[in-house]
Amino acid sequence: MKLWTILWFEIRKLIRARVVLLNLFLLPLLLIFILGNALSTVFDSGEDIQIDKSVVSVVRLAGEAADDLGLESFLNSAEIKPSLDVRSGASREQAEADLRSGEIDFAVVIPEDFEARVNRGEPAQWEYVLGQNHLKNHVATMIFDAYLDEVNRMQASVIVLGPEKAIPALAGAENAAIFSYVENASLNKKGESYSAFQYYAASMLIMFLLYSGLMVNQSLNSEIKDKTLYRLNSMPISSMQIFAGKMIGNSVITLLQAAAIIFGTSWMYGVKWGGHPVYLLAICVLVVLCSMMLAITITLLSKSQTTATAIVQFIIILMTFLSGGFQPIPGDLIQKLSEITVNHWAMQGILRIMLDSDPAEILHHVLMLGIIGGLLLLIGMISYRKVGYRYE
Amino acid sequence: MAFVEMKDVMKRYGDKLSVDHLNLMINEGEIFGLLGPNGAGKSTAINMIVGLLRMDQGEIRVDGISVNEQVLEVKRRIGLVPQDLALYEGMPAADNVAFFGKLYGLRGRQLKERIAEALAFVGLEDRAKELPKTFSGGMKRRLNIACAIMHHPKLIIMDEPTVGIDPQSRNHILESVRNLNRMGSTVIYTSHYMEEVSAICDRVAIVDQGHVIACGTQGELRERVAGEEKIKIKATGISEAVIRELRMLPRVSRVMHEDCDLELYTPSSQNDLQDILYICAKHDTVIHSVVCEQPTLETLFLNLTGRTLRD
Repeated sequence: MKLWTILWFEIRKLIRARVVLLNLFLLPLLLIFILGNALSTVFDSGEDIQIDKSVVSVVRLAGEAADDLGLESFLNSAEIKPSLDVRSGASREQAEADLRSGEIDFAVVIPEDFEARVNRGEPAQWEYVLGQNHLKNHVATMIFDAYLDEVNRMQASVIVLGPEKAIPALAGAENAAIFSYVENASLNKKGESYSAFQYYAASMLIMFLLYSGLMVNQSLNSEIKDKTLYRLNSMPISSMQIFAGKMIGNSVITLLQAAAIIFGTSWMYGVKWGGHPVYLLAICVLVVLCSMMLAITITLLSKSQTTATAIVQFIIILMTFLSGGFQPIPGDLIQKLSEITVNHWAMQGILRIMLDSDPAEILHHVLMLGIIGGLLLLIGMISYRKVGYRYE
Repeated sequence: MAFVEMKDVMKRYGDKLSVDHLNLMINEGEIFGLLGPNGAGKSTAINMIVGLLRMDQGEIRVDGISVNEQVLEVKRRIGLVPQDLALYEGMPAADNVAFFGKLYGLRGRQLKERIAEALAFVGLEDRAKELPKTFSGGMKRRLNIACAIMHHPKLIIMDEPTVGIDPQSRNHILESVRNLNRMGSTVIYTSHYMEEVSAICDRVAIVDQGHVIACGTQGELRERVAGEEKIKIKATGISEAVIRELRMLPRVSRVMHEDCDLELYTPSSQNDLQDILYICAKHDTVIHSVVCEQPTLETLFLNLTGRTLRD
């Protein structure tokens, strides 16, 4: 009952502070809006943009008879046809003139020595002549890059494995139309990718959940600074009840904040949070647990609140950075480092929930987060037993 | 049996002995004063009674219950008014009282009645919904008291509750202490203001350097310095010769001199004043005022330690 009194009073104190409310509920939505908007071209309506067919001129400098390494069958495949209307071009000059007149949207010039270069194992490169429509340029570039990547991959197979072993691979390449390099998917609906809004909604959700530790750190310290802990310690309530009440109170507020971010981004920006609410809740609860335990350990072991706050803030920012919370960061070392952060497992878990991935895959991330949470809980409990929460 | 009993209590901070073999017996229903200079060990003693600090040695019992064995039971019987304000300034006054009341187990109608009663007791019934951060220092002090008394504790401990407030609020608080005592609570009142302790306490313990140097009723303590009347003289032209001659007077026990102030201690100012004034006049000392004071607790402290309470 006394625990409930502390818990409820903690919630009331937080709710009464308008600045806290703004930071908790408005700031995350604003940040997601700014980051998501800055990094997404498909934001305004939240609906998918219709990609029109691009008219592409293919200029073969070696002549029409040259071996195109399966290009023709690739371009005529069922997956590519809806995206590209391919025509043969006579020359680069003609293609440029057609681009200027708007007759075509994009041109690709296949160099004379293309086949020879491929056979020599040198990188196969084509020249792209871009048109005025950025989106159409982007689509055509992606398609031709995908084709060239595959040609390079096959040629690398021949060089490394020898022609005999690579024949099946080559045969696959000849029959490139069997599989597609291009897949149309809705970023905001079920698909294998996520939108900038989804990415930043997940990343900001985790970052703000991690800040709950800072909130409890401030709350614990303000009781000492304002001398109210002195009075509380003179009352018939144990330090553990005070401590637990404050922690749970802050956790409740943080989970409300999580709900506000999830429902707010869903309603305002059309972010899809996937079809696994239980896993999503589990990740939120575990992140809050990790954050609280991390902050409590640092608070209990630090000499001053300023030091504790600075350390907690640094760790949150560092973990967010390493896990690509601000911007995805390439590199093996960063990737390895990110795997020891709370953010990595939470972020990857949430992204998989958003993409409606296999539940086993999501569960793996939840369990990893659970293990980190368990370790931090153990460290937090040892710190509490060693230092305690008392007025000195 | 004493309501609060401290037996041979010791508390050490590093090399410093803060409480040194402290023995105290406080009777039920009395206002007991703990008088001593800053750093004498009063607050440490109180923190040990309330169970906020563990004693290194000794035993403390409140209402027959050992603090070491049943600290939560002891805490239930105590209302502590801390020296520093311990309030949630962003929460309304009534919410502050309610929160602490709930922690003492008060609920429902009883809680509501006690909140109203406590706020009325300290004269803040009209400010119940206001935030303490808008209050004056005196009002905050009064709310600080309300938060400690709403559960009708058997023992109220007030640790320097009048520090830094105006005389009007101080009088209000002293009157509140008397009223609480009349309502049945035993009160421990600590202060380094001799006047406050003299005004309200039945018995007083004078504490210095962690132990009790004198304890008893005010009458008993004054009796110990009955022959220590103070004569305060304000004068100019006080020479070394005057002081030397005054010290030679047979009944004058001490002569203290600072700038234009002379303080002399004698068993009877009535008998010695004429001789003192004669010596001053003989050495052309110009006297501006003379005040004779009966011995006080301050005199006793000075007598016992050679220092004043505010040193």
